[in-house]
Amino acid sequence: MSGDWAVRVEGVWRKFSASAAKTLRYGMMDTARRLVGGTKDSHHLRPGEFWALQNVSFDLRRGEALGIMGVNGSGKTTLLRILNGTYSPDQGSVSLRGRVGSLIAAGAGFSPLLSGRENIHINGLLLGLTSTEIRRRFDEIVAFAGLEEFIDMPVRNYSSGMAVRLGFSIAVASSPDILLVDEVLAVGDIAFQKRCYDRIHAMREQGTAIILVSHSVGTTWSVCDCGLFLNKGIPTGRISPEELGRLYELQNAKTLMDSARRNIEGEAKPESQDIHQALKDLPRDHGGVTGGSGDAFVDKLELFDVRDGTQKHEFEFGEDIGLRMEVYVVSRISQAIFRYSFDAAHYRFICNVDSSYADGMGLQDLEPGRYWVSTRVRAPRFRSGTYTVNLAVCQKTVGTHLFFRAKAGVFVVRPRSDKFLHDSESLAVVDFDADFHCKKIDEPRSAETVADAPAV
Amino acid sequence: MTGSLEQVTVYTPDDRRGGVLRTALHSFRETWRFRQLVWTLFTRDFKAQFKQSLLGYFWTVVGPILGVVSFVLMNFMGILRPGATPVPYPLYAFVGTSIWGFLMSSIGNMSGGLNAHAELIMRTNVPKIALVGSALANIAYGALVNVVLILFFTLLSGVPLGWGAAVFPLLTLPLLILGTGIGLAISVIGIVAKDVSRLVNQFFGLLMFLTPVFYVADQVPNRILHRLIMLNPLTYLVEVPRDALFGQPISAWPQYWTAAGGCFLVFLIGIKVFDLVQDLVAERL
Repeated sequence: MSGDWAVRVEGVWRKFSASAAKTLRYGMMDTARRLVGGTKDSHHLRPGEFWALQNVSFDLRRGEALGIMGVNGSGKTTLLRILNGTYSPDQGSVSLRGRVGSLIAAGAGFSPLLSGRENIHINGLLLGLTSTEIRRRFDEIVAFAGLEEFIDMPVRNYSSGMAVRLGFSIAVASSPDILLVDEVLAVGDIAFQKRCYDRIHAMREQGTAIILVSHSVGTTWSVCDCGLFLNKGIPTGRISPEELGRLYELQNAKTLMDSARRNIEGEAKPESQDIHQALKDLPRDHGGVTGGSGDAFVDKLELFDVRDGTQKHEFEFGEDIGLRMEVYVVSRISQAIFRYSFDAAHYRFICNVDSSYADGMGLQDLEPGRYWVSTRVRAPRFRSGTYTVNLAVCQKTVGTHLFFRAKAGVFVVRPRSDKFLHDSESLAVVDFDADFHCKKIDEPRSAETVADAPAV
Repeated sequence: MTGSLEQVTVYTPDDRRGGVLRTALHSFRETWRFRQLVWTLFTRDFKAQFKQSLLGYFWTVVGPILGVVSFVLMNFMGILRPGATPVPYPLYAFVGTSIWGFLMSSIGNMSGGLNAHAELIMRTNVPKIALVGSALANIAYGALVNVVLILFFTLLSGVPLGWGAAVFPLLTLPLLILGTGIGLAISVIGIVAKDVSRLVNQFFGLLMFLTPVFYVADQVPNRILHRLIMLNPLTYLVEVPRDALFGQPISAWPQYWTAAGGCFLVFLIGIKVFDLVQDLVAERL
């Protein structure tokens, strides 16, 4: 790459030890080694240590913005702290050209007893500004934060939003060559957030290189033009923000699914248990995760690939989902109905599939015995994420469940590969194809009316 | 933009090369670069401290005075026989404990520096040495208050000030430098090994009795103890400024300057230790 880099990270490794006792012992050993002229033992893992970062390399030019994402514990904060000089790398090197502004925590170092005015001064100095520069930018900082009336009030009496706004304003006013941001863009009200994004965009155009660590796919997508994904300290190369968002969502969904599956398996009854015993123990109310009248029982639910019938828990967007359950019918069920409902991470019962209206089966009368019931959910529109399956056995003429089990299964839908789905809160659960058209129908009433719109 | 694009910061493992002097120079440059911050942090801590305290500035004055009361009481009860002091004993003991206090407060302020600024160390990229350096301002302030008090009480007791009153503050500098060096080393090692700080405090508490802080060295009858006291370099660092203040003849200049040189060496080593270990402590703050 040419010589116009702003940040250059070359083969950075960093390790930590997991237990506090080991941290202490190794810390003492390393200190002793350093004091007698040696170096820290940084090439091997000692017992109890793990690599928080493994061979991270990237170059970032002026005006570029890199988004770093990863689930908790993936090493992104460690990387940011190395870039900030708080930690040293164990191997490799980090080079930064120009003044570095850290937004690792907006308002770090605010003294609650001092006024906003005094805190602007201190914070500016912490960010490497001189007193003269701070005085010159003072009005700009206060105006950006929108705190004109409160600037001589002790920061102790600020709301948390006001304090963060002030912190952000100081950090961006320092016009750094490199800006390190840790998840603090989404502060203040909407109008302030927009000012922040506008400011960050303007800084990029003036040549500031930005490194943003975030949990928000939407933020990264808005701000960054390249990405780095970390999984247990192992980086991807430089990827697009869209790819970054996909990797992050998938990783997140898998983590959620793993914990959900552990829960389900923890509750599952041992194979040897007698079905009659299970029926006797079956709660007769709707309070728990399972219950029913005792006329039917479902022992297991499997999710499978509809092409070859193999069990799996990961589906592509729009891929058919196969479900099969083993049903014990205890006493005759006339006009039986099988029903599945699906829960997303934040919402319950987002949709149902029901044998009474689905194609193929219709209402059936079932004699006592064991049945395999298999279902094919065609081209579901689930967005990427983790979903749990609830199942129920019903009878058309009986207005209650013969059997139900919540959280009987769990699966993950992978992000769409053909288009990038993004929303700021990542709460949407389904995706529909849609056509948009835009055409102008009127001029603004006048320039003044627009400008007079209430400033929020 | 800032026009500082030529300035390239590089972080690598174990990039702590160079001798003691180079490290010291580098540390000074870093602290100097952030001098406005160091000063502002000092005034901030200072103001914040006094805004909360009901009696405010009163405590700065009362602290050193209370420190001497126990010795004066023991003296009046006849338990403590300090020997023939050239000035009234309360004044003698007050000056002695004040000078000793310079050493202890510089150790204490410095060694607590990293912990006090843990938040800033984790969240800003101000050099750690500069943050710890803001404690230096605290130490200087404490010393200043003490010097003013000493002059005030000396004049109050009608003791004529000697020629050395003018250079008295300068003569106490070696102790401040020594305390700063020790404090710097403790501030990093103390985070890895927590006992070190307490150990050093105990050690100096004991060492005070082997230093003529509140008694006259020549009055100690036990020959071995007397020999130990005379071997203790701190003896000269306390005695020479005090004698100078009261216009007493000073015979121990060579010992004083040797000890002062030693203080400076400890100071340089303290900076080196700090520099060597500082990055290891970040993850433990």
